[in-house]
Amino acid sequence: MIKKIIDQLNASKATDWKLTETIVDSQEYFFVKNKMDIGRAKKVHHFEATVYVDFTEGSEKYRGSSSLSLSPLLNTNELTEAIEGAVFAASFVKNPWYPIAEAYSKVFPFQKIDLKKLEKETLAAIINAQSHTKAWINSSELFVSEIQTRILNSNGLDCSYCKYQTYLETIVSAAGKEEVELYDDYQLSIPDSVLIGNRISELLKLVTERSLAQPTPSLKEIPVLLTGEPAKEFLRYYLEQANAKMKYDKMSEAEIGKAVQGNQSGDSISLDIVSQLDNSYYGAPVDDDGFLIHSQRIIENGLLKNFWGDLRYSYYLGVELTGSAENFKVCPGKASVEELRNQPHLEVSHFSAVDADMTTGDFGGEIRLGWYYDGNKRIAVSGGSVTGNIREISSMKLSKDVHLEGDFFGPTSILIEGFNISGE
Amino acid sequence: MKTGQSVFLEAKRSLLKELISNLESDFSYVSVLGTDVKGKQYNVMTTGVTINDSMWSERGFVLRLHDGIGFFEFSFNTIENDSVETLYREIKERAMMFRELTKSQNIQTASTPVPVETEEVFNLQDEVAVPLENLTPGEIIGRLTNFKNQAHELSDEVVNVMALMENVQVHKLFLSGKKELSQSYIWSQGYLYILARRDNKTKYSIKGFSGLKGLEILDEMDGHINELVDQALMLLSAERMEPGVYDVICSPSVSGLIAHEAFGHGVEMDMFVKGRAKAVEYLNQPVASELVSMHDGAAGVREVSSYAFDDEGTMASDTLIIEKGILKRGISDVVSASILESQPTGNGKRESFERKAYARMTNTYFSPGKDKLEDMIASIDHGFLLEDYYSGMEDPKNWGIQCLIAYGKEIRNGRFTGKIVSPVMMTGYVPSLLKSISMVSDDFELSGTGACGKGHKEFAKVSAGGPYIKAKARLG
Repeated sequence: MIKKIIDQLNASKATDWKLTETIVDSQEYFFVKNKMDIGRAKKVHHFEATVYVDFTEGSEKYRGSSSLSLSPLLNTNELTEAIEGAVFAASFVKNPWYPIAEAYSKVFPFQKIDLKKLEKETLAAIINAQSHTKAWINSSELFVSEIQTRILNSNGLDCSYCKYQTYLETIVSAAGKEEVELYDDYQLSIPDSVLIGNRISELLKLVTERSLAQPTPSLKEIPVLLTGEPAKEFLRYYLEQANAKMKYDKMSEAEIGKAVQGNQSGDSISLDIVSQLDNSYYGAPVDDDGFLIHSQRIIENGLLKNFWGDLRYSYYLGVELTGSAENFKVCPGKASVEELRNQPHLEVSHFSAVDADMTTGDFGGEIRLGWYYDGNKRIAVSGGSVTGNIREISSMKLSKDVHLEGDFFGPTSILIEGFNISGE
Repeated sequence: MKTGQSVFLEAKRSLLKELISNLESDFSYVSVLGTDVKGKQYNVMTTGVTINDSMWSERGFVLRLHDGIGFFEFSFNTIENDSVETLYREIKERAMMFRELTKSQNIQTASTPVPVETEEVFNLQDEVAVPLENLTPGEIIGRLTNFKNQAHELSDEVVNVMALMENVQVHKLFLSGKKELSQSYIWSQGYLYILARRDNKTKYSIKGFSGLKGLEILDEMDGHINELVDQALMLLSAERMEPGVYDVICSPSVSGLIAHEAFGHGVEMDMFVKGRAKAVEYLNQPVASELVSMHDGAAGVREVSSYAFDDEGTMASDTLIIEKGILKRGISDVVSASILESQPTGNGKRESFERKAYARMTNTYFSPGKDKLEDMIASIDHGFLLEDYYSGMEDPKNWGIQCLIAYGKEIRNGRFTGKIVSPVMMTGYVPSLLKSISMVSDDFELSGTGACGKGHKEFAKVSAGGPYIKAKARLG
């Protein structure tokens, strides 16, 4: 099929083209409590093409584009029609010209593992985790996939790589004053039964705390300690503000050489984009253009060093091309989490959802699990909300404790002054 | 004009029947859902134009079988004349491998009954007013570009504009030993987005348009640019919310968000099976003010989640979830209904053929009441009219609610003061919120832009809405 698509793309009136082939083979397990509810498997083959059409007006050169999904079951007529339709549509798209990735050919090395063995161990870890505490797993869903990707373009680029992705969604419950639950999604490359077992054990402890939680009191002028996913999403704001597309689309006001954090005391951020983090779900050696991603320092001590992004938007901004990385890393702070917990504060590890607006900096969420420390005792709390604007905080301190959380490696916790807390 | 049938699915119908027939010799139940969904998204921004296939585009199959113990599914997107036998062997082998793995690990299997179906043959070809072929891509881009240009002419503080339209043609084919169902329909959605900046403050306004519609959606988008630019500029001078409990009036979009997040997710009956729904404890009990009635259904209204049958081959219905404040019933997929010994309600939906079916909402809304909006505003001593939202999140087990609302207009002594707060986080305990509803307007609006997740994945099209409602809520 791929040869048929390439022949059609070459025969079309497109100035350039890009083609991505993806083959996914996955196994999926759905548990309700300790019983298997349903099993699923998937074997799918996808093609995504982008056609580019160049034209000039006066002395300006423009590039139109249109992308399309191509089923492996398209017949020749359907394929011709789909590609010609996309080329026709692209001729109405008037964007400033930009290049596609340069030619190279590479098959990235890939270490095959015995996925079935790891799946078995992981299933055992999930089952065993249910029998140790008074809290329990309400339900869980495990997805383990092997994904082969090949990217080609009309310049002669031809690269391919393979990766594993493991996704575990876990709902844990505990009975206290009433039955409560916590939600978690855990993303890894390979299904590591030890990491997964530890993650579930920690969740079971946390949901037990939620079962004993009191309503969040009304608190004013008290720092908020974000831990885990909320801390990651808070830091993602700085990553996105340093993105070339966000800058080009005027959704970011960041400028190279200038501070990204505003007038705040505490720690300055140093942030890298990273092509691959050890056992990250999101690791890939190249971006969607096939461009080899360079891990690179983007923000250093609170100052923007360079925008990061794909070929098109980096070209538009005239900045060094980094490639569009899927992972980011933030350098640790000076204080341990325990030290950050020394002063009165509200710590939040679980919001119903973290709402962090990457354009405006608005941040907030309803508290599902937190802890209020008044200087003497620490009590679990639930309910109420934290709101504020990342641009308007007065102080930020990063923990020196770090962890891998999805596409992020960095501080587990951040102590923030300047957020509002709504409680009872 | 009627939406034509899928040539692709029709070409594969006999092969799928052959595959089902082969597998029926080994398994108690076999069905296949075939999807052929084609969509285009046209997006004009100040900084660039794109025409891409819609993210909702898909073409493939999901086969469901029951081996006498439980269900197994296989998603695939290749089947040719010469591959039916190979596919049959692969599906059988993977189903058996799955069962052997669970046995070898001593994993118990949930007891799910074999589905019992009745003979059913059905075909739907829906209609839209303005067919998608009526405008060229260039003409569509031209219309969207006009929206963008209008916005920039209105204010120098507008720094970026997005005018987006997406049209999606859905074709689905469901086959089993007893059912042969097919449906074709079109839904469309549009967005107008205005990004404004003053000094170091950035805010945006956004408005969505949706429905079982074709290119007529472009006409509906016309005439809204002025209000959106005004709104974006207004948000630049918005103040922060002073946390507290207030009297609020929720606009139809915010009412819809509450219906969806507060109760919709909590009555998805796969949550009943898992013991994740507090709603189970409250069936036939009061959970809301007597003024509140709430529906969900793919039948009954026409919006983006209206269809003839769901992704498990169950015909669509209209479910009355809350009747005059009393919780009456939930919404279910086939598997949940069979375990709970109830009837499926046509709410078994998949993100795509590649994903599992879950009990999902379709079009979820509060029924209109008899009050007038002006009387509702006049009745408030100090509170806010809450307009538009950015996001929401459910908590079916503990009935918490999180709604991130775009802005609130302050009301004092029955009149707007001119003060705007933004954004507004509404949180609280769902029954307290719903029981506090004291007035319900006679308006009714539904909106189906965006997507709804189950937890943080499994995105599906839904719509939600209702009238203006007056309630008491905690804002932050």
